[in-house]
Amino acid sequence: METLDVKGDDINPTILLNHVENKYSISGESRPENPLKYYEPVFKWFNDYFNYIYVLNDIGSTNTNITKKLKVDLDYFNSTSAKVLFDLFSLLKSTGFEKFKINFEIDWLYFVDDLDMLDAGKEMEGMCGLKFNYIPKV
Amino acid sequence: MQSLSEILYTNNVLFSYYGFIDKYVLNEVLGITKAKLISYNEPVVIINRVYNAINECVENIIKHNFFPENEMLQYKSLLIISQQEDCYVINTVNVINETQKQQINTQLFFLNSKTKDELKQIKAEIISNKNYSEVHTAGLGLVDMILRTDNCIYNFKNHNTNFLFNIHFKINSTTNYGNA
Repeated sequence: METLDVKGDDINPTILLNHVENKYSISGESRPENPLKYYEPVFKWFNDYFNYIYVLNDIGSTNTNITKKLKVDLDYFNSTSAKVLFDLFSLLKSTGFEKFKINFEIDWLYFVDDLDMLDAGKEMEGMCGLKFNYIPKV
Repeated sequence: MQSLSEILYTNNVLFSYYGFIDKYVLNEVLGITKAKLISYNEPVVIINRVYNAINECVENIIKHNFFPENEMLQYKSLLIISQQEDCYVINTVNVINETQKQQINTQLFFLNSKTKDELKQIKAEIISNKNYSEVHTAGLGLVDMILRTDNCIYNFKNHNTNFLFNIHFKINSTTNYGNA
């Protein structure tokens, strides 16, 4: 299973999806010109990953739950990115958990005085049904 | 009568731009404004609200450019960011056509009549709509701007065969940190 390692910049987030090291993160700033296109490899990676884990562990027959954590450490995301992030979390819930029993939790980082970012996480959690862990940073 | 420089000075203008706006201008505006707000020791929540309002306003201007490519440089817009005693003000003017005017007017009239909780509900409904398209997300930026700012005033003025659309957002810098 290949690692997805996308270096971000002023408008695009850095993305690391590394199954071997058990590291999954999206960080930086997210206001890509075309969010759907930018995040497309992320959706593909997770779909491949679920199939890979399914085949590797034969989860379907053992019904074993696996818990993973996706770190979301965004300083800012625009409204279109919010839509794409929701779709990603929905994929983790509907395909990852409900179909393959891989339980992704979201580590949602926010600056300690940025209550809007904390609220944004809570709104996402309410909509997508994944467990969010809120981690303040200074 | 005040000169332009006096108007800019007395209104504490942090940034003003008149001309064709594209993603490069947007990045410059965001970078300069953010650096200024950090230097004023503003809380992250205020910096992000101002940043968000500028970003969503200007993204809308860029997205709704209806001029053909060879006339695109005629699509001049005005962006002013100013600081008042207890708030930041973001003011933009851009050219829109009749169809856009009707659509924006309907959306803003509807959204301005809603409470913050109702706006949150509308935002959640747009985000969770499974049939993603530009049409479904067309109002999302607008909803987010109104939700995360404290006052939205707008007007339209005739401009040749089109219209000048002026929108004005206030972001309180002293209270309501948990407002949105």
